This record gives sequence, C-alpha cells and structure tokens, in this order.
Amino acid sequence: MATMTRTPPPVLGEFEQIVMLALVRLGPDAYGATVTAEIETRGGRGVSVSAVHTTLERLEQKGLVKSRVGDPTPQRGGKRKRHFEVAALGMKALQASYRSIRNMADGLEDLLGEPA
Amino acid sequence: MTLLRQGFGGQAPRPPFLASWLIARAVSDRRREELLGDLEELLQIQYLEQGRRKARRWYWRQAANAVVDAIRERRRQPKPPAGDSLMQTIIQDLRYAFRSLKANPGFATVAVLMLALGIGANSTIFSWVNSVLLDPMPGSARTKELVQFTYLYKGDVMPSFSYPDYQDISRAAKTVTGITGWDDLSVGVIVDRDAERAWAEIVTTNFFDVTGAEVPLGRGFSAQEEVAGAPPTVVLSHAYWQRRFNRDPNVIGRQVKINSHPFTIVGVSAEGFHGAVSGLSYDLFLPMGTQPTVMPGGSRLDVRGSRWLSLVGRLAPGATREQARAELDATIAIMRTTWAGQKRYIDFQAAVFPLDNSPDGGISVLRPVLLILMAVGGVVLLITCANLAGLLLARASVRQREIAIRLSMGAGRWRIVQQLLIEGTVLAVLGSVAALVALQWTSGLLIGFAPPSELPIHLDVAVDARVLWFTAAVAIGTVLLFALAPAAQAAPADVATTLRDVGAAGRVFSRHRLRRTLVAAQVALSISLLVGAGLCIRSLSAAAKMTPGFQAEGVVVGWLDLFSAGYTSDEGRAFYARALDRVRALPGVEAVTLSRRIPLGFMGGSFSDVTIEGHTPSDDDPQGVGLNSVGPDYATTMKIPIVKGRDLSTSDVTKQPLVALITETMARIYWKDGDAVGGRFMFGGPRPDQAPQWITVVGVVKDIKQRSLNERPQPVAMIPILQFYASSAVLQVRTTAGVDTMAGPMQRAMREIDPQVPFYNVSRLADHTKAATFQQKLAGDLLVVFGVLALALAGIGSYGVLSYLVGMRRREIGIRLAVGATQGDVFRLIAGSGARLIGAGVIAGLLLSLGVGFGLESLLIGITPMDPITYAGVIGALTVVAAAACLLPARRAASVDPVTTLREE
Repeated sequence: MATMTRTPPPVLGEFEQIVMLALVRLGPDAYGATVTAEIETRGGRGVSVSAVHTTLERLEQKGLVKSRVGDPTPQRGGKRKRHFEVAALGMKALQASYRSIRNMADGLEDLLGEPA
Repeated sequence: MTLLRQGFGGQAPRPPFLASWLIARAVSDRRREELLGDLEELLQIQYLEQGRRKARRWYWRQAANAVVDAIRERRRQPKPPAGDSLMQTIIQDLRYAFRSLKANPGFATVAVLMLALGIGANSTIFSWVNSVLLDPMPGSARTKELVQFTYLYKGDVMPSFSYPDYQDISRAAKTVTGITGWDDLSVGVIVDRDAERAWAEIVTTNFFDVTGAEVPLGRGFSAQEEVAGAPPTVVLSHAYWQRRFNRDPNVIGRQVKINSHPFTIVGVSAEGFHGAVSGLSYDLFLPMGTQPTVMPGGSRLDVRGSRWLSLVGRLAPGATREQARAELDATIAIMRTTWAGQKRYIDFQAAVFPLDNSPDGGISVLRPVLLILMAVGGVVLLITCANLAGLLLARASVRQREIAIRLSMGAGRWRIVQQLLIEGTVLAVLGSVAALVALQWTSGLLIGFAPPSELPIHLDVAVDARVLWFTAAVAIGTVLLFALAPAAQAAPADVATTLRDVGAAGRVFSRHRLRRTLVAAQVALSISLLVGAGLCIRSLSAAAKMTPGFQAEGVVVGWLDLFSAGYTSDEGRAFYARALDRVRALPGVEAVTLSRRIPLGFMGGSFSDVTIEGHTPSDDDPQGVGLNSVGPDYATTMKIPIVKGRDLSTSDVTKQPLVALITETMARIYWKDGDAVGGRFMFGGPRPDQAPQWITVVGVVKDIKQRSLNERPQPVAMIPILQFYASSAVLQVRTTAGVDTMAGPMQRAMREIDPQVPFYNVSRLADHTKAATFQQKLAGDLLVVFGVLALALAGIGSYGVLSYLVGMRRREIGIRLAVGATQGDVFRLIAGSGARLIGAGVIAGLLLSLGVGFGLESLLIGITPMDPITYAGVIGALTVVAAAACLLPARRAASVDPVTTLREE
C-alpha cells in the first residue's frame, strides 16, 4: 500500500531564492525598499522594485512568505509599507533549494571558486 | 537609510509626476501604495548618491519596469469566457482595432502624428495658459481673492499710486482685508565684498500677510519697518538664498550692503514665490521704510504727486470686485475734495482688475498672445479632426462591404458604431501619449516668449494634473469630432442595397457631401489662420518701415548705476563728463551720449506737468509732457533730425542757463506756429517761495516714439542730464564697429574711471527697441507656423478627396470617354468640381477672416484689419495649393483608358 508521503516543498526559482534570502537577512526590517537595496548592495545587481514586489506577491500566494502592514514614514511621502517574513513552508523550500545547490556544487569548488 | 533619518540639507526630490501617475494606473490597487512608497524612499537614496538628474532617470526606468511587469501579470491571469457583456465587446473591439491599425501602418502613423500635433499644440498652449493666467502669482495663497487696483484717467489705465494715496486708500477700504503696495528696482548688493546687481521689490510691510506668501525661515516685515529711519532689513527670495548663500540656514541676522547701506537679513521667503509680478523673479524684498535709502531722489513717502506703487488687495469674504471698485471710486472722490485746492485727482476714476488680467507685468504682454494662441490651437485641432474624419470616411467606404456583411449577420448597428468609436479612441490615446511626451519639451518653449529686456524674467511651466486633465478632455472631444460622423455614416440604413451596390457611383454622392463639407471647412479655417499670420507679418514690415524718429541701428548701449556706488550729484556729473570724453576718444566711435531711459524699451517713461511762458492753459492741453534726461549730442547720436535750433552740447552744464530740446508736437501745442526756440517753460507750476526755474528751448526735433510704434506723436522734452542729474543712465554710442568689438573697450573705459560703478548689460539698442514690436513678432511667427501647417493639411485633404472621387468615378469617366467626351472635357469636369469645392471653402474662409482680423486689431500697426495686400497674398497662396490639389487628380482622370475601365467590372 502506498505510504503517506510528505508533500515536498515547492521548488523556488532563482530570483525567488534571492528575494527570500534577503528576507531572512533583514529580519523584521524587511519590506520592498530594503529588500531591493539589500539585493542591489549584496547581490551586486540592479533590480527593479516592481520585480521584487511581483515576486513577493507570488511567494505570498504560494504561502511561502507572510506579510503585515507597517507604518507610513515621511520619507515615503506618507505611504504605508508592507513588511514580509519567511513562513515555515518557505523556510523549508529555501533549505531544500540551498541543499540541492550545495549538493550539485559539491567537488566543483575549484571550478566555481570558493565562496569568499 | 540612517542617512535618511538624519535628514539632509537639500529638499527631498518629488517623484516625477507623470511617472508615478503611470505606475499608479498600471499597478493593482492592492500593491499601489506600498510600491509607490518604496520607490519614493529609494528615490531619496538615489538622489543622495547620484544627484537629481540620475535619480529622476532611475525613477523613470522603474516606472517602465512596473508597467511592463503589470502587463505581463495581466496576461498571466486566466481569460474570462467570451460573452456579450459590454466590457467584453469593448475588449474585443480594442483587439480588433489594434489588429486593423497594424494592418494599415501608413494610415495609423499619419493619423497618430496628426492627432499628436493637434492635441500636442493644444496641451502645450494650455500648459502656458495654466502657468501664466491660471496661476498669476505663484506661491501666494488663495490667489483668486487678490485684485489689482488702478486709476483710470480719461479711460486710460494708470496703474501707479503715490504712498500717501496708498495710505488714504487702505485706511478707507472695507471690502478688502488688506492692501499691499510695491515697486521694483535694481540694486547693487555686496555680500562679503563681492558686489553684484540684484532685483528687489520694495514693499509695504504687510506684503507677505496680504499675498499669503510664506516666510519659512526667519520672519516677514513688522509695522515699525514701514517708517523711514527704522533699522534697514531685507527678506531674501528662496532662489536668491539658494544661489547666493548656498541655502545657509544661519543667514538670518547676517549683514549685507545694498546700494552701499548696511542691511540685516531677517527672513527667506518660501520656495516657489518669486514676487508680486507675474513672469518676473525678484531676489530681495525691502520694507517701505528703506525707500529713501535705496531709491534715488530722496523720500517719496510723503510726496503725493509721485505715483510709483502698484497696489494689490485681498477681497474680504463675500466682497466682489465691483464693490471694491465702487469703494475705491468713493475714496478717490473724497481725496479729490480734500485736495481740490491743488487740483489733484481731477478726472480720476477707479478700476479693479483680477490678477490674471493685470494691466502691467508679464500678463499684460502675454495675455493677448495667449488668447490668440488658444483660438489658433482650437482651429488647428478642428482642421486635424476634419482631416482625420475624411481619412476615416475613406476607410469606412472601403470597409463598407465588411460592415454590411456584419450587419446582415445580425450585428447591431450600435455595435458597429461602438467599434468605429473605439478605433478612434485608440488613435486619440496614442496621439495623446505622443503629445504628452512632446509636452515635457514643448511646455518649456514659453521662455522663448520672453521679450528682450534687462528684467529678471522667469517663465517656469509646470506640467501638472490640470494639464493632464485638459489633454484628456481634448482627446475625448477629438474622438467625438472625428470618429462620430464617419461612424454614423458607416452604418448604412439599407443593408441589401449596400451589399449589391458597393463601388457603384449611385450612393457616392450623398456620402461625399460630408467629405466635401469637411474639405471646404478645412480650406476655410486655414484661410482664416493665414490671414491672421499675414496681418501680423504686414504689421511687422509696416513697423519696420515706420520710423520711430531715431535710428536704433548702429547704436551700442550700456547701463550705468552711480547711485548704488554712492555718488553725490556733483560727483555723478563729473563722472558722466569723463565717461563721455573717454568713450568719444575710442576708435570707431562716431558720437556718444547718455540718457535716463531708452525710447521703445520695456521700462515705461516719466511725465511731468509743465507751465509755459505766455501760454494760457486750456482743456485741450495734454496731461503733462514726456520727460527724458539726456546727454550732449543726443539728437546727433540718435540721428533725430533737428527742425530748428541746436542739439544739446557739452557746455549745457550746471551754472549755465537751463535748456531743453523738445519735439515738434510739443512745440506745436504750446507755441504759436510751433516757433518754440527761445521760448521758456518750467516743470510744475510757479512756487511762491522760490524764483521760477525757467528752461529755455534751444532746439526742436522731429517727433520720436516713446512707448509704442502705434502711439500718436507725443509732446516730449529732453533736458540735459548734466543739469538735471539722474543717478542712473544709459550710455549710448553710435559706432561703425559692432557690439562685440565695442563692449570690451567701453567696459575698460568705465572701469578705469571708477571700478566701483556698475556698468552692465552692454547690448545693441536695436535689440531693446524690438520690444515695441514684440507681440506682433510673436503672434506673427506662431500664426505663420500654424497657418502653413493648416494649409498643408487642407491641401492634402482636398487632394485626398478629389483623387478618391476620381477613383470612385472611373467607371463613369470611362463611359463618358467611350461615348465621345474628350480628355479636355473630363479634365474640366474633375478640375471644376475641385474648384467648386475649394471655392466654397474660400468664400467661407474670407468671411471667417474678417472676424479674425478684427480680433487681432489691437496688435496691428500701420494697417487695417481688412488690409487688401494680406487678403490678396493669402488667396494667391491658396490658389497655388488648390491648383496642385485639383490638377493632379484631374490629369489622372483624363488619362483613364475607357476600354480597360469598362472591362474591369
């Protein structure tokens, strides 16, 4: 008979991984602007704010991240912000992605270069 | 981010309006606020790291990304099932419209370009009207309540009041909550030993309260500063604070020198407030009490005869302009009674203007031109619509079979109309987007309207929500105009006949009545524009021929300001004498002189009452004579012909008898037979406490125009500046060398005499006297551009209709040729129908032009609104275009081969 199988966490796209990693790094201070800035400074690539928003929205629909509405500040022209954090399912998905990347890269460090 | 929280010196940049508007439209409600907030926050960082320009560019890139993302997102959404709800049919029609436009890229491009032009012209003109007329005093509060007071003297507006007038009037006023007065002046400012020129407004101390302009840093003026002798203070404009003091917040309390006197800075006005005169931007605001210190000629604060202040009041809640006028009239009546002994205020009445119709400042120059432009923009849009309607009609008849098939298969008539309207809307939206993109650039062209002047001109045009709404409204109106008529025609009443008969000549004619009317309308409208353009051009050339009485060509001018350098009148006279000697000795100089002001410049003139020896005053005497202080050799340098007597000379100085040059008109009014040389007059009337100061006329010169080329010959007296000292003057040099060659040596010569004396704005006199024909030039240039455009559109339109008609009538022409008509007959037939079409347009156009001519009458110089040469020229130009538009299709018709044509169907 078929045993009860756990549903595997959804597979994350590359940009989804980057966005979720940024969420983990920023902790409670994670919202659109800070996530974008974090990816730009740490990831060393320009991203559009709109792309970050679209991705966060998609992740939320899949239940991988949670959000709550935050306070407006004057720098934002008095507009509210939306804080995001990684949900439990999202953390599992992130761990799975990281595991598979690490496994695939195992033994190739000479070619890929040591992570600094 | 910490940087943000600490705050920074500069003001946070606002996101580009259009970009955030685009984002707000593209993004779903759910995410809009967060996304805009994030972008605004990151914009601050971009601004700090990259500067304003790069930050704005970054924001625009983000906006483009957001729009693209939103479109992708929408595609990903599951499509709703097909059905017949209004929304779904609209979406279907939109898709269909885009497909059919893609299939006809030529038509689509032409249509969008025409719409972009028509809508763009109107948006641009509106953005100017918006910033000049709808916001006449940027930075003031509730501007609609502000009104300008003026005197009316025998029907003429006299915008200036004396300070005692101001006190009487504001004390009596109950319909206003406050009245403020001001005048402007150019001053010398020294900050930390760096001297420069600046433009100041000297204002009554309630200036900031009445206008509602804020003073965010420091304070405005207090009532004590209204009184002469109070410690001198100054409020800086925001722009000057930024430019000269680098936004230093510690500027309050600092000392600067203004016209060699120490002043304390007490405040900085709000950003966006440039002073009380539209179109000008002032650097400094000085309180009324400093008037005797900063202005030459002593205190005017107790001189009732010296009218120099502009007055603006704020209407009390519920009060109307008419009540304010009646109240001012009553006050003037009381003043007249009080001063009856001195015969003051005789024939004076009150007038009160809304600020957007102010009789002076930038508005008075720009308002007539802007109103004409609005009308022109409307006409161009109408022509565009007529042309597009023609194009769409042509397409509609091509598609008639398609439409008939759809009708016969059960499509409702409204459904067909809706589809055509949506096609029109798509075109109009594309055109508007192109127009809005162009607007970012074209709105700034207003500065090209700035007249040549030494004034601090400031014409900043903001593209705000009002401009966007206007553009949207124009686009909607356009769709209704150009798409509705063809849509109505395209749904034929009789499906069966249409299906059978398409292409036959039978129905062609009724259908083409609309197209013919459209072409005739285009011809008529473009004629009226061309007549307007022609009248302005003719005015300009008439003005060029009209001699102002002097020769501006070949004269180089430069401004001297001895007052701000602290000269006394004796020192000043010595300076002038030396300056004249030095410049006269420069190579290439034919003659040199000085004058208080240049004729036909933008700065007005001064007037004075005179008493003439041996002349009995009568009611026909003019209200005073024009006055100018001038240097030796004035008539010679300006090449003003001397009728009798002599020019002023270097020996007409103090301690010598007082002398004057007068114009022929003045001589004729006051002296029998105009024989004025040797006659004597004085300014004002005799005073009991002093001996009369008689001035002897030594020369009579031909009349010179003072303010405009249109004016009647004026009585003017020119008195020697070396006798009647003025502390600022224009050095005027007649030279064979150009301004580039002369500027250096002239500046060196002045510096060698005294480096402290400001000598500035060295330029050609002709550039300044052009101010006199500035409006005509502007209106003429713009009307020519639009008129030629309209003529081209009308030409293309007539050509299109005629060649289309020829196409439709090929069969008929074939038959005619087959039964014996000659090629000449056919040619005459087609050319004749074209000529009738255009002829009808010409007649309508000429009638319309009469209206245009009288509308422009105030701008015309030396010609009448019915100037025959203009009309002849326009009709000539039109004949050429019309002939081209008729002859080509007619030739093609004549070359139809009857055999092939008849076999075709």
